[in-house]
Amino acid sequence: MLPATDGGILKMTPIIELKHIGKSFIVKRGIFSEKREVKILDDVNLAVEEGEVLALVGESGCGKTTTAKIIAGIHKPTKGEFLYRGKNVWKMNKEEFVRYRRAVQLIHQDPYASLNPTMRVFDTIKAPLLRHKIVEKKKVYDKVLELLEMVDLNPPEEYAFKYPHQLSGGERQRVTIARALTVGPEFIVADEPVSMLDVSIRLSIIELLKDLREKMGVGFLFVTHDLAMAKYFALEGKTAVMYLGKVVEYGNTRDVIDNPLHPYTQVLLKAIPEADPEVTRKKEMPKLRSLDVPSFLNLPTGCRFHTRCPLYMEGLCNKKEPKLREVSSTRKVSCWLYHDEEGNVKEGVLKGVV
Amino acid sequence: MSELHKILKIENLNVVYKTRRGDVKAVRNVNLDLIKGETLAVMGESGSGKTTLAMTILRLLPDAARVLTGKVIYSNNGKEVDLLKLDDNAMRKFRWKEIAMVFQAAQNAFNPLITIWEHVKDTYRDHGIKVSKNEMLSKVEKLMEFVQLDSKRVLNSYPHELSGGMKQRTLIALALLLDPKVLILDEPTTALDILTQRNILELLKSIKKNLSLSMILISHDLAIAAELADRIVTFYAGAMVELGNVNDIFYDPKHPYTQGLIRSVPTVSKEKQLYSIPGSPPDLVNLPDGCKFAPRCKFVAEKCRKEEPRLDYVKEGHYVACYRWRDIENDSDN
Repeated sequence: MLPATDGGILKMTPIIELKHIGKSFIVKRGIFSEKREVKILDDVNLAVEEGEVLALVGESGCGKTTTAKIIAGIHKPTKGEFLYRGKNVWKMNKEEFVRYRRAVQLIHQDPYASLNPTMRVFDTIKAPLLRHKIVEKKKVYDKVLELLEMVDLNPPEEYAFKYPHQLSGGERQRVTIARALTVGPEFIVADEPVSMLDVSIRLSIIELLKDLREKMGVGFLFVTHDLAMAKYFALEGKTAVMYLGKVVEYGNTRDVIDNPLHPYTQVLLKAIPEADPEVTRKKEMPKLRSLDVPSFLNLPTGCRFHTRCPLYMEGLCNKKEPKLREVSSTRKVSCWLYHDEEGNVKEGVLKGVV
Repeated sequence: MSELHKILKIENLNVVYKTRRGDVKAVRNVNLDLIKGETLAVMGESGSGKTTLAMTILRLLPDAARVLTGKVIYSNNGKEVDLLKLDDNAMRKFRWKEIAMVFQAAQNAFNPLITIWEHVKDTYRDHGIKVSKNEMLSKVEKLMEFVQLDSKRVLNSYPHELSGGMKQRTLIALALLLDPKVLILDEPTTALDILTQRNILELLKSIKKNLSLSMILISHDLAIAAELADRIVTFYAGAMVELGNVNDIFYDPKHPYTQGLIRSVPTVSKEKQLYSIPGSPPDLVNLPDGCKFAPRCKFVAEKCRKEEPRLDYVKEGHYVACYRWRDIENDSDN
């Protein structure tokens, strides 16, 4: 795609862009209660450039999977715009939508549920190849083998005729990756792709995804609760941290993980146990004001983290909601420690910080 | 180490599950001691036999399981009993009073129809202990305070009214109710959020510090073992492949599988080169001959494929089941 010009400066259109995205679900608890709208995502703004990797981290229930599903085109946002190469996906004509669908592929968390148990590997991979007319019928077999080889399922002739139950978790995840590759994607949404796999298998799948990124220039949204894995996978890319449906911090992965600004990111990093006894036993976590995660049905006023934040400022954090604002050209954070109420970066708060 | 009190001695244990495909060899030739006051982590992947080991100790194996050989000897106050020989009634009284367990997936370990207070009463009754309501109450209130729960609120709640972390803390309090000497923790923090997990870890550390309990920690998560364990045993395909203190295992692992595990897990604090272990674990019905890790091992030699190695002495307290550990050591850049 040709770069668009923006005020005379060359600027690439991001491949994926979320603008003020909101997503609500209607819930009804019990027979007599009223229907209620639950806002899972609120004003989420994110962009991913061509070939870039963005790690989206947060705890369960923070909205990261909902974000992934919006980018994969499974959920339609209730607010805001979701753009693929500058075009609103939900206002595309059919042809454009098909192009988007092919370009953006999803890899699920659970390789046990995402493969049809009655279909052999060959049929699973053949289907999209034929549906999207990627290869002619007589060349399908070779193409399937080529894809299986690409995901290190060797010998491919053998794997092609196995059923999912004959495969291990790691092998199944390789099949789902091969299936995603059938359509030659530009962008892969990987939602906790290794969290259900055994420890010894995880890294090999991560390495495979890294390989695709490096060799084929595929961009990634890597959704995970594992900050160490996020750092490993997205070291050269970006990381966004989510809390209760909002992005609270964004920046280069190394900056965010090594030098977190938002109190939530800081607490998370201090809380994670690490596979290194000396390091992990020295960790000290600041005391949280509360252990309980607030419910989406009853969100806190002001900053959503204020009910738990160790650096809570009475009268400000519980009253006014901070916005995700730049603190430098590469870094954004939503916290009153860094910005004043006019949105200016406070002096002296970024000493030694990118 | 003869003066150390071994509260549990597992001797030559072999457990299989009967299936139509054949016997699943879940635990093979395990000889393992639990020393009084220590936290022993059992590290391994799903199917490595770690949960079967715990279930054997507590005699909670499913019907399809058979203990082929072995003893589980519990020794306390100079008396020794083989738990595998106790009758069901004696075992029921023994369980929870001497050895208690915090089960994996806390949310499923409760009876959803009764309150936590009724769980407390049931625990006393089922294990044949008769105490007054006031005694029960004062004991449980003390424990609730220890696990940082509001006992008034929690005791009157049904399980679904508690959050994941509260359930896990409640489960720990219930496990401690009858003052067990041994506590088995099966994946105590899996499925919990990071901040809740930290809270449970701190709680377990304080249990370790303040109560003279011996703990067996079963976990696939290396970080949890790094955080809590005194000693670690690595399981692979039902057998012990390495045993050592926490620093031996993390900083000087000898078994290629232990090495592979540790090198395949990223950490946030250190940027290190990672290596992945090729292949996948063997089928427990049709185990390969020789070392069960041989098909995935880059140091494999002819001998490895013929005969399964036994635990070899590395140094005081450190053992490894590998023919080639000395060669691997010399090849320091492996």
